[in-house]
Amino acid sequence: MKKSKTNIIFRNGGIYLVFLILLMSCNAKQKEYKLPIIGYPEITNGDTIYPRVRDFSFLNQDSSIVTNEELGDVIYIADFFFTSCPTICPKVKQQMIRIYDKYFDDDRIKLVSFTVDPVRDTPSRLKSYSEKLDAKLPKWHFLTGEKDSLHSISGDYMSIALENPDAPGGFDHSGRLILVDTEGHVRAFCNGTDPEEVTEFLKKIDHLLNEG
Amino acid sequence: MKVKLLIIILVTSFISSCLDNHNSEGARLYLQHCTPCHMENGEGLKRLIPPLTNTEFLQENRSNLPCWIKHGMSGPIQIGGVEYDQIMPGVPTLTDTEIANILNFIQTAWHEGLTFISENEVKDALKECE
Repeated sequence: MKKSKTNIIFRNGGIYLVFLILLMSCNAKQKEYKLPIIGYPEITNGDTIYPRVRDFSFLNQDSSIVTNEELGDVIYIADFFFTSCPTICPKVKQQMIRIYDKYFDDDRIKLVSFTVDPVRDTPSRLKSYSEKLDAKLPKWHFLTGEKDSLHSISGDYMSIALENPDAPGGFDHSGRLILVDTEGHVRAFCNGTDPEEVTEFLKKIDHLLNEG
Repeated sequence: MKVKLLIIILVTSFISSCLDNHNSEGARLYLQHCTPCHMENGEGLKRLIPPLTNTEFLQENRSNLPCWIKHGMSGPIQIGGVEYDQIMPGVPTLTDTEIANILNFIQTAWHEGLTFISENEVKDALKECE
């Protein structure tokens, strides 16, 4: 009788042990999980090279030159817009403001908004636009520069920026928010007009911050 | 007597369903044309996009509203002590009825006690800008 009781305890203990190990391995897996790098890697001489956002040099709302190096050792959220955009831009900006407010005191994160309409969006116009949104430097850069460079760099951010006379306001552009890591890799993006998608996106930002 | 009652019930339910449709057409059109800038709650965005929730401004500009919706507007405006100066695009394809429905939706959603805007009132107001 006594013997079988110990047997039961032993057996149950064994089950608990198995559970514990499973649970630990689960936790370990979660810690190890990293956000994927978005885009197709190139394999040269056995090395896998992941795509990065190309080097850039644009002017911000204070007319200061901003390069990707200048942004510093930070992760950043990018979006493409223009100040006279009559369609999705204010909605996307509302979500950028959400991110700005959430990480206002976190120096590891910046926001970068690229205009797709640099002819009209001069630094001074970007300055007035950013002030109306209460967006301040050095946290949130609004960038302008050469039109071709701005339009072609959008592809690196998995976004679209095109001049199109038939489009509302004269430009086609996507309303994505793009998460870029300190190495210039795109790690996540979402539809910036959908607050629920942005809620999921915020979790990814937190995840990247904790990857270390 | 029974037939009369039935007719009354039928007529009132028909009218109320019509009104319902108008209101929801206003809501649908608002969602389609206005929310990208003025947002679902009509509050706009910071000091960039003006809110639609200021009753005083809405009342003062009642006769301008149809023109603004149909043909857009530009130039600075003051609402509640804040200046806004963003170009608003118009929606020239909207009919008088649709404009009235949008305006009545806005009034029902965020303003109490404002008189209903009729299709004819919209038509008259539009004469100023057409």
